Amino acid sequence: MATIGHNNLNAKLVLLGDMGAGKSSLVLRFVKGQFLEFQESTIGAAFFSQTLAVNDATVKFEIWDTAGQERYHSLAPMYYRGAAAAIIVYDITSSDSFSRAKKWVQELQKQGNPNMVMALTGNKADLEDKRKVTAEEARVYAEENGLFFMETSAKSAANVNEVFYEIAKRLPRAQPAQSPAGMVLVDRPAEGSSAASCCS
Amino acid sequence: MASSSNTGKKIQADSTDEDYTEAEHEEEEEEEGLEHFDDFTLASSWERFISEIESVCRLWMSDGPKNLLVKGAVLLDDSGSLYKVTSETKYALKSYSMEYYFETNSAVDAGKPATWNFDLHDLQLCFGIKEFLVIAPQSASGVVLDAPEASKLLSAVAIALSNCSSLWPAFVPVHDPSRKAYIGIQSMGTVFTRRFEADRIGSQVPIKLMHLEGLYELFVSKFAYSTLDLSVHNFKVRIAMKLTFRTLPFDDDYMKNFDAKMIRSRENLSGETSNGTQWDDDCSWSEWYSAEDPVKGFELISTWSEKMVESSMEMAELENASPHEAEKWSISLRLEGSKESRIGFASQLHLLVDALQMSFEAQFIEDFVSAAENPGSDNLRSSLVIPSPTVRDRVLKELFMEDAKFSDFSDVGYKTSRAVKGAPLESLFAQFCLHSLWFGNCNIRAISVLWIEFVREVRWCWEESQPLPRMPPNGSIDLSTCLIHQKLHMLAICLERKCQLVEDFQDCIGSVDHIDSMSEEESVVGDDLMNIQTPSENFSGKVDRKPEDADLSNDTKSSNFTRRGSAGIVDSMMLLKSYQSMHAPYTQEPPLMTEDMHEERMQAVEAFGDSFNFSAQLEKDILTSDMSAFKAANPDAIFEDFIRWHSPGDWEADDDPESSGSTSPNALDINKSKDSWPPRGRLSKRMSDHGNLWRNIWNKAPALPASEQKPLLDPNREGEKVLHYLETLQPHQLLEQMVSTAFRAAADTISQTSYGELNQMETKIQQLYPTMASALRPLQVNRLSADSETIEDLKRLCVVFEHVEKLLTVAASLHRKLIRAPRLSREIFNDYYNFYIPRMGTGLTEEVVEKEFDKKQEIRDNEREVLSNMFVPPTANQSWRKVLSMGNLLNGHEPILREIIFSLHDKVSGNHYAARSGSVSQQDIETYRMYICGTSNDLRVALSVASCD
Repeated sequence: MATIGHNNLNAKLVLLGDMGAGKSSLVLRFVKGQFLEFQESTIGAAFFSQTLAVNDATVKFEIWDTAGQERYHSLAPMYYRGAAAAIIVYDITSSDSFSRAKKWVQELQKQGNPNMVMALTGNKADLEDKRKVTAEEARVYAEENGLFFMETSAKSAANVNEVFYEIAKRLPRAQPAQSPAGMVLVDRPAEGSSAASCCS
Repeated sequence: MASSSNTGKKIQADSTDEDYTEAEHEEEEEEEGLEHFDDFTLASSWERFISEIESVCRLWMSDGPKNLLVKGAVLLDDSGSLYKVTSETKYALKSYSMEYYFETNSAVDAGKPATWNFDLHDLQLCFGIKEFLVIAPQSASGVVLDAPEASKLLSAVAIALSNCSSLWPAFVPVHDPSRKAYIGIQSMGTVFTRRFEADRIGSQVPIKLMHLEGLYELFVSKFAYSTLDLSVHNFKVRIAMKLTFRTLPFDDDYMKNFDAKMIRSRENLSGETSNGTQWDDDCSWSEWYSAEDPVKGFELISTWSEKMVESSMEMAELENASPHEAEKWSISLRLEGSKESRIGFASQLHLLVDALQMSFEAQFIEDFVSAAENPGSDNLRSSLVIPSPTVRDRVLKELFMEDAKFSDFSDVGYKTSRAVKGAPLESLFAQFCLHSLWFGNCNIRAISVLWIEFVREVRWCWEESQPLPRMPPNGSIDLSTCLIHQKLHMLAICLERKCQLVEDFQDCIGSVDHIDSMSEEESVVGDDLMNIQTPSENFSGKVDRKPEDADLSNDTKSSNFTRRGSAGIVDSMMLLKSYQSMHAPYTQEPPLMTEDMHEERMQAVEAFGDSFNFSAQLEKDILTSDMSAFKAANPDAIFEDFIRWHSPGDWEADDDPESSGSTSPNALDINKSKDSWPPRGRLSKRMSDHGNLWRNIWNKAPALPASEQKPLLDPNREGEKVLHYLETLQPHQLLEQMVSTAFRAAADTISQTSYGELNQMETKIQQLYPTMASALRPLQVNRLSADSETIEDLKRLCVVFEHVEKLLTVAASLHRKLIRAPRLSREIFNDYYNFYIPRMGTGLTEEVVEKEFDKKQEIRDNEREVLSNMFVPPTANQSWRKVLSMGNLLNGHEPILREIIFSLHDKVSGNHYAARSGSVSQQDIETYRMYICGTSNDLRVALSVASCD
C-alpha cells in the first residue's frame, strides 16, 4: 500500500505476467541497471526496493517480482494484496503472453485494490522483427481499461525507468490505498472527520 | 408622516380615538415638505407607537425582499417561498412584535395566489393574499384578548401603513389562540378598503353549517341585504372545494382487510401478503428485529376546481358528488412521528461500538466474564447484564445448526461490501456478530460470554471432526475478509483435510469406496509403507525417506520404479529419453495462508533483503513437491521433461521455428512431436545455465507421489494454530473485527430488502459501503488503547447507518403499500428523500428537529383505483366513524377536512370616489371571499370584504 509520510511515499509494487515476459529483467534493469541475457527463471517471488525522487517527494518502491508459471498463480493474491501499483508485463513477441496479461488485468480489477495504479508494459521492444503484438492493439486495450501503457526493453533499458517514474508520479494523486490487513504496522495519517462524509 | 392626507384622514376616521386624530392632523401641517422628518415633539405615546411602526414599515419597504433576505429574513418552515422579518415595538408597557411576511417572487405574480397551493400560509389561504403584516402582543399566548385593544392596535397599524402608502394587509389576532381569530384591514389604493375577519367554532357546529347548502347560504347572507328567500334568489358565486381523506392506520386489523382485498383483486401478490402479523415479515431485517412501520397512512386530497354555483340546490347536489369526480387527486404521506430512539441495526451497532471502547480495559476476554461472577468488583460492570444460559444456548444452537450450509461468498451482498474488512454475510463469524448485536443489550460482558462459548463449540467441532457450519470446507482464503473469518475458513479446510486423511487411511486398510482426489490407480499402487503408517506419522515421512534421495537422483534404477501418483497422460506429450507418454502427476494444493501468515513471510523475505537470488522457501517447497510428484509419475523423466510440462515457455522446440522462443508449443507441434520421437528441442538459455536453481532442485528431489509427501499444509498443526488464535484473542482484537463485520453484515442484510426501483436509495446504500470502509479502516491497525477519535468516527458512522436504515424502512414500507402504483411510491419516496436528506444530522449530539413531512404528490388517473382500494369500507368495530354528517363519501369514509372557498366578483361601476383614473372604474374585483374549513364538529370561517367607504 502507499503510505504517505512527509514527502515520502512507501509503495508496494508487484510485477505480474507470463513466464519469460521479462519481469525479473525489468526489475533488475531498474534496480541495478543490469541486464543478464539469460535471466534465471524466478522461483516464487523476489523482493527488491528502490527509491525514486519525483518532484519534491521521494517514492520508495517495495517491489515484488513474481513467478510467471501457472503453478504459482494461486499465490499471487498475497503479492498483489494491498499493492499500490502493479506492472503487468507481456512479451511483444508472444501473443500468448498478451492474453495472459489481459487475464491478470481482469483479476486485479476484480480482486485488487480499487485505487491501484496499473501499468501495462510490452517488454522486449528491441525484438521488433519478431513482434506479434502491435503497440496499437495494446494501447487501445490499456485505454479501455484505464491502464497506462508503455513498451519497454530491459535489454536496451528503453522506457524502463520511465515506467517506474510514471507510476511514482501517479501515486500521490491516487487515494491512500485500501489498507490491506490487520497486520499493517505503519501508521496512516488519520482521516479524521472525513469519515462520515457519505451524507454530507 | 407626510403622506397622502386623503387616505390618512380616512383611516384616522376609523380609529377609535378622535383626539389623536386631531393632534396628528395639526402636526401634519407643520411637516409639509419634509419627507423624513423625525418629530420628537410627538405628544402621546400612541403617536410615538404609530410613528415607530411606520418607521419600521418604511424600512422594510425601502429594503425590498432582496435586501431583507440579506438582512436575515427567515424562511418559514412549512412553506416553500414565504419569508418573515420581525421587529419589536413597545406601547403602554406592552411589547408587540410586528412580523412582515413576504415572498421573494411576489413581484412576478402579484395577482391572485393560486387557490389550492399547498404551501400557502394559513392567512394567505384564509384571505387570498400574498404578503402581509401581523402585529401581536408578546404574551404567552401571543394574542390580544379583548376586542377593543385589538381594533385599537389595528388602527395604529393602518394609520402607519397608510402614512407610508403601503398596500400591505395587516392582521391582528383576537381572542383565544385556539379560535385562530383575526381581524385585518387592507387599503387597496385610493378607493377600496378590504376588511378581514376570521373565526372558528370548535364544537357544536349548527347542523345547517355542516352541509354545503348551509355554507353557501352563509356566504350569500353576507352580501344579500334583504331577507329574501335565498333558495329562490340566485347569485353567481364561485366555489372551489378541497376534501382530504385519511386512510385508517395500518394496524393489523386494517392490513388483514387490505390484504384480503388485494388477494381478491390480484392473485400474483401472494408473495407480498402477510397473515397480519408484522408488516415487515418479508423484509430482510425481520430475522433480527421488527421495525415499527414508519408509514402510518396516507392522506388523499381531492380537489374540485372553481365553478359557478347559482343556487343552494346546486350546492346540495354537489354534496352527493363522489370524490372520484374531483378534477385532481393528490396524496401525502403520514409518517410515524415517534421521536424515541428506534430499535434497529443502527441502535445495536451503537452499543457494539460502546463495547469496543470498553474492550481495551482488559487483557483477556475471560476478565470480562469473571468480573461478572463477582459483581462487587465494579459498579459499572454490574449494569452490564448477561442473558440467561438458556438464551445463550439457543443462540449457539442456531449458530451451529448442522444443516446450515454456507452458500457462496461472492454472490451475497453488494460487490462493494468487500471493501469493508469483515466476514461475508451468512458466514459463521458474520452470524456470530449479528447474534451478538441482539444478545442481551450487546454489552462487552454478554459478548465475552458468547464468544467463549462460541470458541468452545468450534473446538468441539474440531476435536470431534464435525464440519464447521456456515463455512466452506474448500476454496482459497479470501484475504479481504477479517482475520477471524480467514482463520475459521482455514479451520474448516483443515477439518476437511484431516477427515480426508482419516478416510484415506481407512480406505487403505480395505474399504472399497474411494472418494478423495487421489486417483484409483495411486491408491492401488500405494506402497505398503503407507498402509502401515498412521496419518500423523505420514507427515514426518519425508525424513524417513531421506536415504532414498540418493537412489532416486541418480537416474540409473529409475526405470524399475512403478509409476505412482499419475493423474493421466498429458496431451500427446512424449518423454525425451524413453518412448513413453508423459504423465501429469497429482500435485499438492498450494498451501493456504491466512493474512498474518503472509505477513510473517513477507517480513521475513524483506528482512533477508534485496539479494536477487533469494527466493521464498515456500515456492521452493512447492517446486520440490511438484518435481517429486512428476518423477514418481514418470519414472523415466529427465529435467527437460519436467520443464516441458511445468514451464513450457522454457522449452524451445527445434522442428518448428515459428513457435520457438517463449511461446508454448501448440497443438501442431505436439502432434509432430508424437510422430517424430524423440521431440527435438532444447531448454531455454536461462534454464540451461550452469548451476541453474531449478536443475539443482530437480537433482535433489526424491520421486514421491503427492500422497506420500509431507503435506505443504499440515491440517492438524494449522488447525491447532487457528484454535490457539481464537482462544487467546484479545478483547479489543475481537471487538474490532466484530464491529467491522457487524457493520458489513448489517448493511448487507438491509440492502437485500426489496423497495422497488429507487435510484437514490440504491445510491445511498452504495455510498454507505465506502463510508463504512473508510471509518472502519483504523480498526485494522493494531492499537493498544481506544483512540477517542476513532470511536467518535464510529459513532458518527452509526448515525449515518441509522439514516440509511430509516430511509430504507420508509422505502420498503411504501413499496409494500403502493406495489400497484410504483410510480407513486417512487415519487413519494423521492419527495421524502429530498425532505429528509438535508435535515439529517451526522453529528452525535444535536437532535434534528423533525418537521412534519407533508409534501403532496399528484395522483394520475390510472392510479386512482389503487388509492381508492386503500379506503377499505369501515368495519363494524370502526363504528365510531359511522356518525356521518358530511357528504362526498369515499368508500364510506367521510373527509377529515373540507375546505371551501366562495368568492363573488363584481364589476365595479365608476363611482365618484374614483376621481383619479378611469381604468379603475371598470375593474373586476373580488368583492366577497369566504374561506371555510372544517369537519362536522369544527368549523372555521374567514371572510374578506372589499368595499368603498
